[in-house]
Amino acid sequence: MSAPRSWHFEMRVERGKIVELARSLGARDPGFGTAGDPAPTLVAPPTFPVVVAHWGVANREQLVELGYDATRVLHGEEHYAYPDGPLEEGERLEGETVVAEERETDSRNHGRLRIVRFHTELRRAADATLRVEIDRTVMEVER
Amino acid sequence: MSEGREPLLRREFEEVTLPRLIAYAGAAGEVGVLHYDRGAARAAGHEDVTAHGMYAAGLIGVGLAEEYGVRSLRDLKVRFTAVLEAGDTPVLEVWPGEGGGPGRRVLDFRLSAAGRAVAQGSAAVATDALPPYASKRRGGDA
Repeated sequence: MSAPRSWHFEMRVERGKIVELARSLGARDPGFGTAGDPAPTLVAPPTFPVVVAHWGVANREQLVELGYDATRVLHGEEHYAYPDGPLEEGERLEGETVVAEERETDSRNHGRLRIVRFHTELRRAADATLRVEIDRTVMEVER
Repeated sequence: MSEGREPLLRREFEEVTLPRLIAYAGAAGEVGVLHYDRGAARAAGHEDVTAHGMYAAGLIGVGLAEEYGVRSLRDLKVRFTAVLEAGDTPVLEVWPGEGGGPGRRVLDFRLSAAGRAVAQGSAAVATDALPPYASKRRGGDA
């Protein structure tokens, strides 16, 4: 059976998870709920979509499914594009991650590199409005 | 990107520690042995446990959002160049970037620790989302 090339998921932007992630990053802003009087509606930190791992799609597991050795993987780039601004508490989202690109090249320091770029789109569940696009590029190194 | 220019923003974050990385791993749901097991990290050639790449990116995102407004960020592109380890004290520096356009300001940034660049890249913030206190020193229009 061939490895999956796309993953569909649903997630909700939860108040407690916003605070937990923001606090772990040392945030100190009422908008994140980590200082002063918390805002009535919290804003998610820019990298909040990482928590999708809790909604069934962990990048490490995706890599393993695709045949990569997760213990030899380095993170190359991460790109977030928010057309209408960051996610907010209470949003219900549907997402899809696809393997956008795979290639190999040689590196003087790391030997053969297998490079894979994942593209994710998160859309508002109610009307399919695009909320964020994410490109993640990781590399499996030979040494 | 930065040589010879005074940054708009310089923020020193708290020291990277094992408890902090464990808290981040739980929050993000990304658990890797190099982030919590000192023996495994040292066997892999590190001095101590390493931070997730997305921990470094998260610091950058929070640093920018808290300076320019939590609703301001529109684009964030991070290129990872080294790993953060426990004991490091990350420093975020931000400079004016090229481009932008109406209602949008581009910023270049670098996250470093002990003099080495850990991550760098660029971001775009919406100037109409800047908080009232954002000044020209911060690169805001408000």
